[in-house]
Amino acid sequence: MYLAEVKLSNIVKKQYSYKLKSYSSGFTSLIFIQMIAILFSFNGSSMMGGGSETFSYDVKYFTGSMILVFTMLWAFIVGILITTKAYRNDDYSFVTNQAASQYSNILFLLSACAFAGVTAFLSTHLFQLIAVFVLKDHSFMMQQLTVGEMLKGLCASYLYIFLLASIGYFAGMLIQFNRAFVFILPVVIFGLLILEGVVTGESTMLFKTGIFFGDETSFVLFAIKVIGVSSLFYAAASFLLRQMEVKA
Amino acid sequence: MNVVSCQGVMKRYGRGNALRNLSFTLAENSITGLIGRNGAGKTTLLSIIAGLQKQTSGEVRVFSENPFNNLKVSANTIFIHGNMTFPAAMTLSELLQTAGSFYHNWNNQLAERLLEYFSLDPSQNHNNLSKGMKSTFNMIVGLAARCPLTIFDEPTSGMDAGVRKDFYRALLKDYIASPRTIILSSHLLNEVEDILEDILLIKEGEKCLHMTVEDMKEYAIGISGPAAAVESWIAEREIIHQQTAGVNGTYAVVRNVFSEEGLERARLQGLEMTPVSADSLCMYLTSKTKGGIDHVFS
Amino acid sequence: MIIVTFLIPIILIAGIMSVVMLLFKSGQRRGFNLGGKMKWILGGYTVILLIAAMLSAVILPAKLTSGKTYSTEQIEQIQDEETRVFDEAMNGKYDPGQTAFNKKKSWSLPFSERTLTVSAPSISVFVEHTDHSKDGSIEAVYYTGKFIIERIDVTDKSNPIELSLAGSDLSVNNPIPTEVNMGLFQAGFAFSQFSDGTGGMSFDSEATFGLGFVYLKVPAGVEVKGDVTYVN
Repeated sequence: MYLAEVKLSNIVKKQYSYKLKSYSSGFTSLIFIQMIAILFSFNGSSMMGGGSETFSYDVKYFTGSMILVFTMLWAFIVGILITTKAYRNDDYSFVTNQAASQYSNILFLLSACAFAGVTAFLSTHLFQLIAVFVLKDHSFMMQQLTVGEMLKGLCASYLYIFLLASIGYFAGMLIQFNRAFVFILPVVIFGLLILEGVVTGESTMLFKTGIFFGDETSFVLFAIKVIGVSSLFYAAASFLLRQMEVKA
Repeated sequence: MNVVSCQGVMKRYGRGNALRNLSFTLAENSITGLIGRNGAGKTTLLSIIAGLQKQTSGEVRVFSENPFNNLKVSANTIFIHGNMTFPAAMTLSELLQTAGSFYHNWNNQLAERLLEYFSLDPSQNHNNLSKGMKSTFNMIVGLAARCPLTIFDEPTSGMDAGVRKDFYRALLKDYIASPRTIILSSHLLNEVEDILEDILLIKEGEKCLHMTVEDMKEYAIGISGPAAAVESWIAEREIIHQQTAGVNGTYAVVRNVFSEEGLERARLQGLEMTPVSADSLCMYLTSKTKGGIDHVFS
Repeated sequence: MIIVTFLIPIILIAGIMSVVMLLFKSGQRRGFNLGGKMKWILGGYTVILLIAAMLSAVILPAKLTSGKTYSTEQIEQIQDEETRVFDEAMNGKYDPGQTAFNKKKSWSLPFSERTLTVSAPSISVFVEHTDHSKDGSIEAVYYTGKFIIERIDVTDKSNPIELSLAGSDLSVNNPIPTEVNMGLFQAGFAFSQFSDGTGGMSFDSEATFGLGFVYLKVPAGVEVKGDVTYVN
C-alpha cells in the first residue's frame, strides 16, 4: 500500500489549527480573569493626599498593571494546563509525534498570549472608560504615550505574558514528568524565598529576578532576555517530554 | 512485505513484565486478531506498535521503521482504543473534519454516511456521548481514515449487539474495498472469528499461537469417553485441556497430530473425537491452569 | 511578619489559579461546554473591547481635565519666579508686568472714607496709592500662584479669597475650602518601562501650592491701616 510521506512542518500546522479549535474553551477563563482585573483596578494603585486648610487634594493612580498581571497569571496556568495528560493525549488521537506536539503547543501559546495581550490592552481602555463615568467627582488625567511607546508597551506586555506561559509550560511538564513536583515546586520556590527572608532579613531573589526583566529599559535587550529565557524553558520541557510515553 | 515485525519485544512496567520476548510478523493487507485475556498485554503491545510507547528491549519495526515517536508511522497508522480522547470543545463533525485534515486517505463520504447510519448527531460533542456511542464514533474514525495500518483495541466495548454486528460487517466491506493491514484485539474470539484471517494469541505477555484461523480450527482435537480409555490414549501427548465429563468420563483436548487410522482406532475403543473451535481452543490455551475453573473447586 | 506578607499574594494567586483551572477544566472535560458558542463569546468580547477602546479614544479626551503639565525643572523655575516677585513686592517693589502670579478675581468697591482698615489674617496684602482720578473706589485684585499636583496645573480648581467691605473695614477671608479628587491614568509597567517619562507622570508625589496675595489700589490720600505692605 502507498504510504503517506509527511513533513513535520505540515503536521505542526495541522496540530496547531486543531489546538486553536479544541482549546478555545480556555479563553472563557481569560474573559473572566480580565473582568475581575478591571474590578480590582478600581482600587487604584496607590493614593496620596494632602493640602492645607483651604485646599486639599486626593490623587489616585490607576494603571493597567493589574490587568496585565492577572493576564500573565492566566498565561501561566494555561501553560501548565496544556501539558496535562488530558490535553497531551488529544494530540495523539490524530497524527503527531513529540516534536509536532511541542512545536504546535508553542505556536498555540504564542497566539493565545497574543490574544491575551491585545485584550489586556483593550481592557485597560474599557476600564478607563468605566472609571470616567463611575467616578464622577474625579477629574482625570492621562499619561500620554507616543505611538512608539504604545507599540513598545504592547509588545512588552505580550512578551511578559508569553514569558509566564513558558514558565508555566515548563512547570507543567515537570509535574507531568513526576507528580511529586506538584509539592516540590512550590515548597522549593516559596521555601527559598522565605528562608532567604528569614536568614538575610530581606528577599532579594524575587527582586533580582524582577529587575532582570523589569529594569531593562532597552526594548531590544528586554525582548532578547524574554525570548532567551523562554527558549531555555521550552528546551528543558522538550527534554522532559522525551522521557514520557502516552498511555492508551 | 511485513508491515509489522517484532523481535524479542519486552516491556517492563515497574517490577512486572507486560510483554516478554514477543516475536512475530504481520504481513501487508491482512486482518489479524490479537486475542488474549484481560491483562495479557494486548493494549501494551498495540501501543508499542502505534508508537505511543517504547519497548524496554527488543526490536519493533512498522513499515520498516522504529515506530516510537515516528511521524511517518503515526501518519500511516490509526490506533483506536478505549482511552482515546477528543477535545470537548469540538463537535463530531468538526472532529471528522480535523481527522480528514490529518489522514491522507480519509474517506469523508464514508465517515458521514456511517455517522448517519448509526444515528450520531454531527453537532454533538464527543464528551456527551455514551460509552457505546463513543466506541461507535471512534470506530467510524478508524474506518474512514483508511490508514495502511489500522489498529482497533477492543473496539466494540460498550456497543450493543446490533451495532457490533454492523461494525464487523462494515469493517469487512471496507477492508475488501480498500485493503490494508488491520489488527483487531478482542478477548472474545467467537465475535470476530468470521472476519479474521490470522490469529495472534498472547498469554501473560508471551506469544501463545500465531496462525491462520483455518489452521487453528485443525490445531486441536477433543476426545471424550471413559476416563481410563481417554487417559491412556492421551498419555505422552500434548494435553491442552482436560476436564471430567459425566459420571466417569473425561474430556481432553490435545494437539491434532493423528493420522486417519489413528483416529479410527480411537473410535473403535469407544472414544468420541470432536473438532475444537478456535474460540474454545483460545480459551483453553489461555486459561491459567490446565483444568480451568473446575480445578478451583476440585 | 515576613511569612504573612508572603502568604497574602500566595493565597490570592492560589484563588485565581483554582478559578481558572476550574473553568478551563470544566470546559474541557465535563458537561459544561460552550462548543460552537465559543467563537461568538470570544468574538463578542473582542468586539466589546474594541468598541470600548474606540469610545475611550473619542470620549476620554473630552472628559479629561486638560491641565497643563510641567517638568520638574519648569516647576522649579515657576517657584523661583514666584518667590522673586513676591520677595520684591515685600520690599516695596512690585512689577506690574510679572507673569508668575495670575489674576484670579478682582473687585471694585465704592469707597469714600478717609481711612481703610485691612484685616487679612492669612494672606499678604500689597497696597498701591493711585492718583485722584480713581477717587471714590478701591480696586482689589486677588493674585494666585500656581497649584501644581503631580506636575499638573490645577490652579483653576482653587477658590478665590472672600473680600468684604463694611464702612472702613476691609476684611480678607480665607477661600471656601476646595477638595480636588484626581484620578491619574498611568500606563502599566510594561508601558512605562520603555517610555522616558516625558509623558508627565512618573511617581512624583510633590505638590506645589502657589502663594497668593491681594493687590489693593487705593486712592491717594486714603490712609491704610493694618498689616499691609506699600509698594511702588
